[in-house]
Amino acid sequence: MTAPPDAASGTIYDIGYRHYTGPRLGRRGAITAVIGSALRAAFGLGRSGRSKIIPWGAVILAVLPAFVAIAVRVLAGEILEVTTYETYLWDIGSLLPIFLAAQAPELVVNDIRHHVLPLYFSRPMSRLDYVGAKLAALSLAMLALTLAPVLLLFAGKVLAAQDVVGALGDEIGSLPGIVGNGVMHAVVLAAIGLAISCLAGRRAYAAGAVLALFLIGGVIGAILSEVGGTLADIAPFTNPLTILDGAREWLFGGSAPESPVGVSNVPLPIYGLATLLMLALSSAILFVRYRRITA
Amino acid sequence: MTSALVSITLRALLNRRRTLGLALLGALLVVVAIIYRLSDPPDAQSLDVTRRLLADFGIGVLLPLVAVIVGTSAIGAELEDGTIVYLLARPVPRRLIVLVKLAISWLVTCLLITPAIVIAGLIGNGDVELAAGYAVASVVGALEYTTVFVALSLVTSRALIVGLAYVVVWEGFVSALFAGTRPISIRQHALAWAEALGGPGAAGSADLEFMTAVVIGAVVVVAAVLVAIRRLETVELRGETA
Repeated sequence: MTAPPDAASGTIYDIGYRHYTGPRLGRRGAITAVIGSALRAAFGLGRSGRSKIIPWGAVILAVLPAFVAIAVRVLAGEILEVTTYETYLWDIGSLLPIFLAAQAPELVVNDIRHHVLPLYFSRPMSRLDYVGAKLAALSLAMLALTLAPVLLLFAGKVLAAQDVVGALGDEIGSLPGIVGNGVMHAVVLAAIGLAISCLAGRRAYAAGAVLALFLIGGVIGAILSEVGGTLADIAPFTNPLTILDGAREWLFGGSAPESPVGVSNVPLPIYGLATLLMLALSSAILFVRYRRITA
Repeated sequence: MTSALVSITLRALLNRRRTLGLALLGALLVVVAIIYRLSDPPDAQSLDVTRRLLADFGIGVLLPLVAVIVGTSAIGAELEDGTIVYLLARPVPRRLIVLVKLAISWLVTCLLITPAIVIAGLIGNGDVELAAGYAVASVVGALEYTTVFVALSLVTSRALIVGLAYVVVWEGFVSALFAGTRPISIRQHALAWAEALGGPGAAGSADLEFMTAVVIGAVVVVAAVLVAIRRLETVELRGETA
């Protein structure tokens, strides 16, 4: 028997277990591990085929319009514009809540329900690190819907042109808008999804609550925006997706024709403010919930 | 025994924080109607907006959300918690258990939805016929939704997720794009009732013939009840509960 390498480790009883001598990855390692496993959970990797249906179905449906637009462009030239960078996320808008409602609860609910949080917090990882890691992972996952399809459309538009370099010069100007908008949607939606999910007792209820927020908000917004007057002004603020669309219009320009933002007279910076408010509120809910939780 | 069955089901479905949340959703419909009324709209517009409010929000979102939560937990929660064995071990026909659970979840769904629809309809426009038509639609829709979701909860353990997916993907997404799928959408069945009974104000609510909706709706309800009874009758009690 060899003596344990670190004499200080077996303090009261040394019952002969072999000690871990490998590298200790510390806080950063713990955070990366949580992000990695949460990302896998967000896409159902390493799980049954059934849990892959919704995330991958949503991703495929989200990418589909980009493919169609590129195909039309290659076959028919520039006469017909199927979708644009500005309206893309509004057009696939109903997929975002579905993905969010299915996958946000997947990341947080069961950790609370099965009381496994102490196992996380006994590692060199604070509660805030845990929340941050989950938020980062879900935001990265959301980028598969909010950024990847638009980037694909961008690449298609550039490569389909006769003069690739010239087309790149034409299109490159919209790249900051594409990336900025995609990241904004991903982070804000992920925060909202996690904030609702962390309050629910079961995954199914969390999914229902997330869906209810977007369904009800969307329906009320659509009805109010047709009424006109003051009610049309407040209509966009009933639905997180419309607020995000308004913030996008403020930051990067270009309006989505069917969005209630178009008929509202509220100055565009208000949407930016409302977006920040949603993010702040969701983060505050997450922060308070995880600080108070008796794991 | 039936009365005991009724009372435990009622208590299980009503004595929850969840019920308060669902009631608040109904209140939201009324609040939107009040806000709209306060904006002092012209009469011709208010009829149309009220109809859309009741159809898109009341029948389109509230009713399925409440029905899916109530319907899947009426028997589903007892299956999950294992308390169903105390019911099954009693000398009560299992079809009676199913029928009572169904009736109670239908009643609870109606209690949570129909008053909100009537009040919102009366506030929004004051057209009694429209409000009455949508009230009947919500009662009929509640019956169809709850029977389907109760049956679903006996078929799969993830009934709530599957039910939500049906409501959002099938009724919200697919039937909006493909008109051919509308005859098998419960929402359209309910809207057809509203159109048939809601008077002139409800015209244009549904994309379905009334008779088609009635026939398919009846077939769906009967089939769902039979599936639910069959599934519960084939649940086997083991010596030791797993």
